[in-house]
Amino acid sequence: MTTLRASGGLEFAPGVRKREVAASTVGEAIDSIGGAFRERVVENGAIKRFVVVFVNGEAAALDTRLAADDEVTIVPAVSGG
Amino acid sequence: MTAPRFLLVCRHCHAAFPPALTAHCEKCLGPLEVRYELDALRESVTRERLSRGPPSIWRWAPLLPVEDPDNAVDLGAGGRPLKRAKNLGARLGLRELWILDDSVNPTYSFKDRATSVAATKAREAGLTTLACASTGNLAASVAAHAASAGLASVVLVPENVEPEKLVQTAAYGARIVRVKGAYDAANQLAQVAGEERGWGVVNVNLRAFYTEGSCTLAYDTARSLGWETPDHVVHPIAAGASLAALGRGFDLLRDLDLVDGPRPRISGAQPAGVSPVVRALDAGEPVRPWERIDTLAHSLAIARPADGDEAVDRIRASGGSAAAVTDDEIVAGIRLLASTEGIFTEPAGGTTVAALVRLVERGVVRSDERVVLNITGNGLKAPSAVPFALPGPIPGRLSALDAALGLAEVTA
Repeated sequence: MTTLRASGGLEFAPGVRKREVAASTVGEAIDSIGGAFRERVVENGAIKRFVVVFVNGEAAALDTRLAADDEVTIVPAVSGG
Repeated sequence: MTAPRFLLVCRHCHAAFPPALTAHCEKCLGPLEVRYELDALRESVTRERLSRGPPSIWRWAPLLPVEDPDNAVDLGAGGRPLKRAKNLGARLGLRELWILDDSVNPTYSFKDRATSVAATKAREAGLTTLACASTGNLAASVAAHAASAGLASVVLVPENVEPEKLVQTAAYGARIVRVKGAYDAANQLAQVAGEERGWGVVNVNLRAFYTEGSCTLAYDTARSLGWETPDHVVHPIAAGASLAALGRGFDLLRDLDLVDGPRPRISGAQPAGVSPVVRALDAGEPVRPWERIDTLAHSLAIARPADGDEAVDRIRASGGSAAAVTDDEIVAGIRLLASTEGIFTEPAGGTTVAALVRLVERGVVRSDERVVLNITGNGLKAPSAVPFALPGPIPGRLSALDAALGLAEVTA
């Protein structure tokens, strides 16, 4: 199973910021959660403007492939380093 | 109950929210910014009152988003007058060049302005740990302000950070965690960890307050110039947040009639090896992530500048421009500033100096303008960026010294 984490005002369901899913791509993982969460992060077949997805700390897109022990982080874009 | 002194407003959809430890609009996830109640401020804030404040950014407490400035975590960031750069100005053919020198802040970078506000806010909210993702400068600033405030600190740094930069951070007592990959990898982990572990992450859940600290760049500049705006400011760009704050700061002063003069032109500086904002500005398109970072200016090395589009908008609206400069130009910029003005800056500062040189050559910065060059960090942060070879030793005789210096021997 792949671990999905959401943060910064994004959550999978009220109060839920961690989910385990079986999926072969980032897009499939987001689809498997679906609902309001998917609407907040995906638009016209791409990640929305203010959202960033990382797999094990590396920037990813909807077609990025996933392995079973990967950790996917879905967060609003921030800055300031 | 009195109305809050300010609200958090979404830069994207303009929805307004009461102050809270959140950085994102709950409607569209856009970034939140502090918006003050201007009518109340106009009645209470005057040049005279601000001039009586402490000799730091806390002089500007009425324009900072905190409840009680007496509880400020104030190590003494900012608050100094600009330095007139006659030698560098003459070298570049500029009539009036000034330097805002943040290389002499408490932890030797401009980050202290923002961190001072974020640390104050964290303590106000009862948090016990201050954290950040950092390319080096912010780590030191967070660790120092946390130490002073009695807070624990955790800093997540990218894999390739200069080790010598972290000696300082470690001395302040921070827990340092090195994260594989570049800045973005450390940053996303800080975002998750902040929420899951209840930390105040200065550029995440404290971000709206943190960036207000950088508005004081504009406030110190205007006050130092006799409450007038400069014609042109040149400022480095990493994520774009401080350049945006610089512009916001001048706007607020003008909205409050605290400063005379038009909106200054703002021009940006990036290393050619990571210049997504300059590319977007030149091409007239949105900022896209930079593909492969290759620069010695690590403190500007951010591939996805989250405030990049805002920086582009600010630059364009002000009539400014931007320049991307090579590593060789950056090193030459460091040497030029040090050898003309006695200010030793890090590669980010060298980038800004080199960009000024380019912008003068292009006629963007004009010789008759009142120009301010923002120097944001100290050269001792990354001294190995400047090539240097120690000369071999000489015998302790005057003739040997003359020979080493190429001086003609004077015979009696």
